Amino acid sequence: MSDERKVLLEVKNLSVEFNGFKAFTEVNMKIYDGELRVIIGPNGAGKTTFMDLVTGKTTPTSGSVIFDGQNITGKSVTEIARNYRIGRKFQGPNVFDNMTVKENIEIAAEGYNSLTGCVFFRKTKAFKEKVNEILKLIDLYEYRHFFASDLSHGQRQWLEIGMVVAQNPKLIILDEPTAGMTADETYKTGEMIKRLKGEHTLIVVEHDMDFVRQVAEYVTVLNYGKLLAEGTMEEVQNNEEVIAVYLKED
Amino acid sequence: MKETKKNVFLQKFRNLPANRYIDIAVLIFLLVFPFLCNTYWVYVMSGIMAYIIFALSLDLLWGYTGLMSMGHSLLFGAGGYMIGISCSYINQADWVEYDRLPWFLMPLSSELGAFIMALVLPALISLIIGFFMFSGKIKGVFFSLITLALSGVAELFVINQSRYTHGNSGITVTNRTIISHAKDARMSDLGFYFVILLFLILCYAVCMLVVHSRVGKVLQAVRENEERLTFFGYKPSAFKMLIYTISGVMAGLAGVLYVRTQGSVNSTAVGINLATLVLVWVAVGGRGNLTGAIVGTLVLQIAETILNSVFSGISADFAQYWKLVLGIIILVIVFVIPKGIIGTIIDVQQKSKDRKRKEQILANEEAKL
Repeated sequence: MSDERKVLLEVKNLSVEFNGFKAFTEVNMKIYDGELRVIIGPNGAGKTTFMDLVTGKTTPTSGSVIFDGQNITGKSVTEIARNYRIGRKFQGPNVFDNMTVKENIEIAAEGYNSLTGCVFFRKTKAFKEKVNEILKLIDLYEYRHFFASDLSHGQRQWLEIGMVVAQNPKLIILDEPTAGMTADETYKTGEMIKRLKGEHTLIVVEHDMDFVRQVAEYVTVLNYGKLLAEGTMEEVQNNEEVIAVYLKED
Repeated sequence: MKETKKNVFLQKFRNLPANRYIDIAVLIFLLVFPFLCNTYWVYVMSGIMAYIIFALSLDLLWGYTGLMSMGHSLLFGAGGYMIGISCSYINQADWVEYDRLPWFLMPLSSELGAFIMALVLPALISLIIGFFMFSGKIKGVFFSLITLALSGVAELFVINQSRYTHGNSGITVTNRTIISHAKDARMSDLGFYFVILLFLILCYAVCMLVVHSRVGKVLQAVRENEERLTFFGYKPSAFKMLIYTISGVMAGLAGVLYVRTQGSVNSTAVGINLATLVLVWVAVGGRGNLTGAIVGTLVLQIAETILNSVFSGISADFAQYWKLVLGIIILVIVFVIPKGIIGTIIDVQQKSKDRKRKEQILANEEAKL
């Protein structure tokens, strides 16, 4: 990977401890603008912790998170989402259950998340078109009047991806987007993510190795809260350390 | 052209959720009611309509935002007492022993000031409570318990401050007007009935406006998944404070109207008893659709009035047992239909619509293949 490209996200010596348990130790990582990065690692490797640290849910014990040239370490979740535009999809679909699919997307849509923004919000034609566009992207246009709770598990995952896209973030973090999906749905999700690649920078955390092979270009492997290896899919697959801890089951 | 416009309107009308038809039915019922009944029932129904405004204010908070205030009567009573204190001071009721009101109650020395205070004080109370609770991240059952405790404290406070509130006996407000305290200013039962109905329609319109705006949708999102909302860049606490304040003003207004129509205010107006009652009305009617609050209050209050007179008719010792009967009815309703009467109706309609849509989608997919 050439270092001439613009660095969008950089974590420096990032560590976090929970009551003495080191969940994340001295990790250095760079994510380039426009990249699709896949993070893999066994359970407890610190993947979710990494996302919590970047999105502001957890404050690091030491080290810093630099996003787009600005230090965002220790900033609140709201501030990071609103001002620095980092979007996150959670592991289990984390949507607004008793609201319709369309309402879910509308709530997530960028630019109207302050109190005054909401009070003076008017549904313009452009806004409606944008919402419909996203509904079609995630293949839920026909389901737009259904409650989110009435969708299938896979559809709920797509809905949350759609919500994150509606947020129009610079960086999209997807936590296991294919969890609980059928093979068909998983493939469809992969194609969806590939389509997003041109417009957004993406970090995808995944377990499903077939899926990782489908979308991945550059892979980071975490283990016990430490960076184990980094490289292209082939490099990582042939890395003996990685095989020892993770890929052996595959 | 005109024809199609009419058709579009008809189509929209047909697609309305079931509860909007019920709203219209209730409105027609309330419009003709006073012409079918005697003055006593007009008087009773005026009080019930004030209670409906109160229930609507709670529905905004509990049904839409998921904040179960168990002490909402605090705001209702705050509004009512402002009118009561002002009236007793201006008309120098025989128990009033003070010459001047304390500085923070000075606005009560004018009639209009009292009306404004009755709306501003509940707003201030809810703003202050909201500020401490929501920026302190107090959630769920803790919010409920703190509001419950506050209502209990307010009840004791009102009884203890008998210099201004006349303690347990409460304050009599003889003039049935909106603003004036003049002794001879007294609207007829029928006249004031329509004044309250007008306020009710106004409050309903405000509620509709709020819940169908983007703010309303965000509030529903707060109810559904508050943490998720922060990851979209929202500050839920600001939205919660806004709706708590709006709800507070509306509860205050309900308190004013109730005191004016019923002619007195006492410590039960701020107490836990009323706070629990309003929760029951909203729960039985169904949360989060406005109609539920209206129908729940209407049905239970009418049932209470009728049961009360029936049981009193049987024997004086028996008079209090109507509460037992009502309690059992409420328990059965909440057990059988946890979503409330209107909530269940909407649910059934939504399910049948969904089924049709699903069939349509499957048919389309088959056509494609």
